Amino acid sequence: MSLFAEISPWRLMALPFLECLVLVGIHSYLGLHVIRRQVIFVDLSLAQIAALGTTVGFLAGIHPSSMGAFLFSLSFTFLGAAVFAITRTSKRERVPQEAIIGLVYALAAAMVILVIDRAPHGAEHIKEMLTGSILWVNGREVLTAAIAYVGVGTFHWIFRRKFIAITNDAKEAREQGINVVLWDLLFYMSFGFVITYSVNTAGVLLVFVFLVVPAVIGASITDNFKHQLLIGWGLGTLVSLVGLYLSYRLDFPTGPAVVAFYGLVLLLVALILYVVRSESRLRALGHIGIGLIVLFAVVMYFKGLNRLVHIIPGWSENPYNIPKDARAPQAKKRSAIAQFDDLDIEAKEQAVKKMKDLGKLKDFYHKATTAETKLKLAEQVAQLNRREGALLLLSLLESKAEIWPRSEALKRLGEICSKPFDLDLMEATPEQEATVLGQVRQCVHAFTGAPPPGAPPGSPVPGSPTK
Amino acid sequence: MSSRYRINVARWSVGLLILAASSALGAPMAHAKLYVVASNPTFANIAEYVGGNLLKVDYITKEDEDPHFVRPKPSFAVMLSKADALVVTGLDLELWAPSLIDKSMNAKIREGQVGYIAVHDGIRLLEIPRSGSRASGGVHLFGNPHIYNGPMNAKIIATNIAIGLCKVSQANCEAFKAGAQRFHNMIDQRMFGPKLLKLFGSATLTRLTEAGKLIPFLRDRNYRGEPLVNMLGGWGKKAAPLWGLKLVTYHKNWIYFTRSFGLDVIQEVEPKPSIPPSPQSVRRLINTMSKETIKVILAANFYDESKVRMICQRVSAQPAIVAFSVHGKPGINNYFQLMDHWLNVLLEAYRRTGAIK
Repeated sequence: MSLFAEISPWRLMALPFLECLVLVGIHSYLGLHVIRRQVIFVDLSLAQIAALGTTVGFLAGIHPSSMGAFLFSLSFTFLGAAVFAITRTSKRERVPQEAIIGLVYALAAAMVILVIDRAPHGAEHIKEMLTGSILWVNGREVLTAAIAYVGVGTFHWIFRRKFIAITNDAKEAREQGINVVLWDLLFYMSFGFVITYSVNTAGVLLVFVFLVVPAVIGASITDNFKHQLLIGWGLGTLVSLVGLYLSYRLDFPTGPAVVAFYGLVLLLVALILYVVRSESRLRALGHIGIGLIVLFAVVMYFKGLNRLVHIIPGWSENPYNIPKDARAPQAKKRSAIAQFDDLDIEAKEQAVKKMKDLGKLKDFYHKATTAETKLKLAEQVAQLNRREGALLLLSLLESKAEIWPRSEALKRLGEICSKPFDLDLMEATPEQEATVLGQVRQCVHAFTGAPPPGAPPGSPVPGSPTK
Repeated sequence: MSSRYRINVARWSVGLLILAASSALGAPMAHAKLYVVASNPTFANIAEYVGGNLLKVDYITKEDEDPHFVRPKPSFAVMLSKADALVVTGLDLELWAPSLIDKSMNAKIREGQVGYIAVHDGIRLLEIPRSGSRASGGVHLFGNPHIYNGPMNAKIIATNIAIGLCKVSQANCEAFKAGAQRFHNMIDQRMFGPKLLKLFGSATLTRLTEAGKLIPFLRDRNYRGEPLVNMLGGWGKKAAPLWGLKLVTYHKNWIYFTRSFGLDVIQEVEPKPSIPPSPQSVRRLINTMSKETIKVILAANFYDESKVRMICQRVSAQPAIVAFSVHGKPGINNYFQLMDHWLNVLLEAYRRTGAIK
């Protein structure tokens, strides 16, 4: 079935890239608001509230990736939005809003863990949901995300004046007659909607970076809202493309690769801007040079530390020793027959073919603990010496061993005597068994010439030694 | 000097009083049930078969939790502090165990003490790595520690639990040994069926199963003209259509099971054990699956189902998502139901792909 074409990297990475584009579109825009409002961590906080909603839903028996779970997390997010909208307009800003956002984050995160602990299943599902994985998006998810974000985007486009006004200066907006609490609530609700949606596929990390980095770069280049947005979009597209490519080429986890690359780009842009904007470019370059030297020193410090830690015994190892009993169990020395006995029956067949020493075979036969082993050894002895083999096979047949080895021994003895004995050991009555065994003994006796002890020649055997 | 002496006397007498009181309380306790804590619900279930109503059994990792990790909770330390015996794999699966035992302050169940029962002893470990570098993922240094999914291993686990419990409570030793033997017989009957078992006995069939040769051996030979495979009953018969079929698993935790039933694991979804798949590895997996026409992915239900389903969609394969442990799903209340569950889900998945009827 080589008809299946190999899956190309393009096909594998196409959907993640489209998802990135969709995310860049809305997050670069919302990020500008977030930066201007100075509520950087609001998305982490809302995402955590959304996760709390999913978890609570889960406790009520709703699967984390179902529509019900989405509605649960969305409702929770709206509650969070209300909290943020109300707390922003507190008259005296003695407590910065960032503190409330951080608190909400910590509380929601702790509650998720507490709630999960009471749920019978699914802790792992929630964990996966928070980290997200953009590599696994499917077409439907990208499409619904696109539709949802275009909806939010249109809403913001229609009321752009109001949204921008309240973001830039709440006090001024209030003086203009805008209901700040209402529009703040609408802002956070739409924001929360987007976050709930995107965190599910992209994970908290990626969403945070998509939100903040384009806005930071845009804001450091220009003050114009429109230009900032265009810079964010352009940069976001480029970074997603290169980040996904790097993730594929270097075989890195996708989300973190894009995040790390975004960080790198931010650093580069910052350095370039620093050089371009400074009064003396030479001095700026000098500063960067000093920075590089410091960086080098830091790297060397950690290299040295690493070496040091490895020199001192025990400093780089797991403080809990590996359990003693786990150490190489196969180290025990075992006798040759025990090792042979341990093989499965097919392996024994192979191994026994190489054994040519009659004395050793017979010795093994007497030491072997299982009938299966005895059978294979007796068969090999019969190959080398029919007389000796016949005696061993007979003793196996007369033993209380399992049916299979005994019936095989009977078969071999039939071949040796050229007289197939017909006996079903599974079904046979003791009398039938005794009769056949008598015939076998007679044959073996005739064949070997020496009567087995206790069995007078020619006479039928009184009692069967087997059950 | 004298005041300090007096305080010491006071302390001693209080201590002695407590000791006397507790031993008075403890005396009837000695006849009560032994309290056994197992690292996972499946070991706990096997222990119940061994000890019956002589034991009270608890377990630490939840029913459908990844056995590699455990959330530290005070209740675990409390549980262990009261335990007479702790049943663990004893390899490097339960890396959380030593710190938990430390926390419990229970000297009886420390490694090397009688209450510490490591059940891996005597099991032929598979997949022993050549190098023990963590760079190749969550490698288990001593071989694959997910031992209970091989039905033959379950018998050894029961024996080891019985031996361990004998050391803890010698008075009940005979009962534990009898319990383990009962469990052995039940497993053998369920695995091979009465007819084949009568013909071969347990040892031969166990070795063949462990070596992954059961069905080929039985197909090759006959007893008085009847192919031996026709005499196979139980799980062996049920799973016979699966023999030789190819399979992808999520984590490297199925080897003892797949070896027993002749399933051929071509690859894992995780590129390295316990490391989530990257784009390249997904691509390789998809390519292998379409090239080798692998139609089923087997995954425990604590891994992300959407990843498994996404890959299945791409190559039109069937996901077989199962509970990994006893109580991992409603209706799976013992080891036998767990094994039934695995086989049923796999058979159903292969049926849907059309690989078997």
